[in-house]
Amino acid sequence: MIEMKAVRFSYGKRSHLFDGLDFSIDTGGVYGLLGKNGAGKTTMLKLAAGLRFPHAGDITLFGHPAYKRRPDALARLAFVPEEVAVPPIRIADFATIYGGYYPRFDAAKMSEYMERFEVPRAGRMDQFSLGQKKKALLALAFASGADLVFLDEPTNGLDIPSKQVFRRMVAESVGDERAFVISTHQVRDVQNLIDPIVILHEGTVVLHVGVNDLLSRVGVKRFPSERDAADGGAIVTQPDIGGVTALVPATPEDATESDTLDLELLFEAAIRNAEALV
Amino acid sequence: MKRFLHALRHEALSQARYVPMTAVAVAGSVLLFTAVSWIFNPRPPAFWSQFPFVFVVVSAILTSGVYRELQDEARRIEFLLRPTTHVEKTGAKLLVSLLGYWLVFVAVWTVGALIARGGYAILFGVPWSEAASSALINPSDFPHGGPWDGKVPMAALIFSSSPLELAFRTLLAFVPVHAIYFFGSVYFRRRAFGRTLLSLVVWGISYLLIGVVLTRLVMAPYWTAPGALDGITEEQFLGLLPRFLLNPARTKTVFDIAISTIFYGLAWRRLSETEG
Repeated sequence: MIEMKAVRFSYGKRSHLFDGLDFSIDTGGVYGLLGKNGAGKTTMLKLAAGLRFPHAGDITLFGHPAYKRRPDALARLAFVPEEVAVPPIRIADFATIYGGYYPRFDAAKMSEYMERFEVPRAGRMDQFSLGQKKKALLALAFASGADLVFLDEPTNGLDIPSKQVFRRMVAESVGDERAFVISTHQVRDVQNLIDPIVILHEGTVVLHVGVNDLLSRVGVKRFPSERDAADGGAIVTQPDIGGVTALVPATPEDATESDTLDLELLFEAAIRNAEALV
Repeated sequence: MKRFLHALRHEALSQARYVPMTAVAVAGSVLLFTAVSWIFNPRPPAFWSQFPFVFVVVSAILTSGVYRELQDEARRIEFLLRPTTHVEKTGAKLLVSLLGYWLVFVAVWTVGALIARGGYAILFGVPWSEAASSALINPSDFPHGGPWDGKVPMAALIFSSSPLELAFRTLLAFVPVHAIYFFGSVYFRRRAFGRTLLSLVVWGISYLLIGVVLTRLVMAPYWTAPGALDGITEEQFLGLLPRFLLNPARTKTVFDIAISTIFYGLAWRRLSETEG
């Protein structure tokens, strides 16, 4: 689906944001793209979509150079940016006009998603609230039938029930041939949803690993104190009520207390010492 | 083709609200001005005579905003990732902003001309047939077949009716102007009309200065030696020029086609190089 090889990119004359970035997506999944503010998550998505042009290296989208923005490749890609803008038209016209560009657009599914998100059918879309606009764009992206869906901070502006609906829709829609790339720093919103995890730090992908693979290597464990955690081989710790929670190497003798990952701890570990995780 | 027609429909829909509103507002202003002028000088309104100037100026301003999606990041992302080719995106915008605007203005101006003439007829008692003579299609032509003796070819009916002929000639004259402002719209992300106009002025002055300097250099021997031009006839001088330059109408047509082709091509190229 996407292949990025030795990509170099910078904004203006600043130092390179990416210098030798390699990344690829060739199977379905919910790719969680995590990184600090300014790490280049949005830029990476834009490069992959052909919105930004690399200064060196190659980027292909469905086999074509991404920067060419070929319609047959774009018809298989949906992109919901963090800041959304909608046209001043009714939602029915929006579905007809925008859905018409996607050969596998499903109007019935669009209608279903709008219902689940409780997006109003009446009125012009530019008069919707930020959350309603975002939900309309998410519904279009899900109903487009695109093989690759880029979601940049998708949960920003969504209320709690809508976040739940969003997570359910992603889980239902993902498949072997369909990938979602969710760029976010709201890791709690996508906990237990993303797999694999991709962590971007200082211009490179420091971690790109499946959750099961990771769980076989590390786990979460609670300790009474920082010292105990350190003695227990903690990779990274986080203060907790009455102790600390730590990410520790998984060993057969000492089973960890959780079969899920704490993404905040994992992120912290990845940017401090990614080698300890792989 | 299906994809292009869809893009064309999308473009027409996205401009369907404000272009007719602008045309009606401008025509209404001209009507108001006409009505006020009757207080001082009650004469039959020449509503269509205003059309070329108003259409060219207003359409140039509207064309400057035709790529307004590129001004805002979220809309830019959506527009650039719309699954159509850059040629289709450019073509859809070109057709809507050239032919679409023209059709809207012609329709609005026809109604405006009828209102102006009708108003004049009501206020000053002029017969309707006379009052309607400057409407787009003159109703008085139809009962006896007009100048075509009842065998009116459709093209002649459309393009020989004088107001529409004027509108059509205005459209042809507008094409190179449109091409320049169309390119300005995709090139300048903010205040495209003013920046394009300023660029044109700077461009014009630069060419003028370069022309003056080159002419001065090339013709230096004649100017520096008094009497060097004596004895050279106009025919001899014109003989130095390429033949096609001696026909101003043809030269202008070639120039218009070249300018339009270059600027539409540049607009397409610029769009394909635009990042989001």
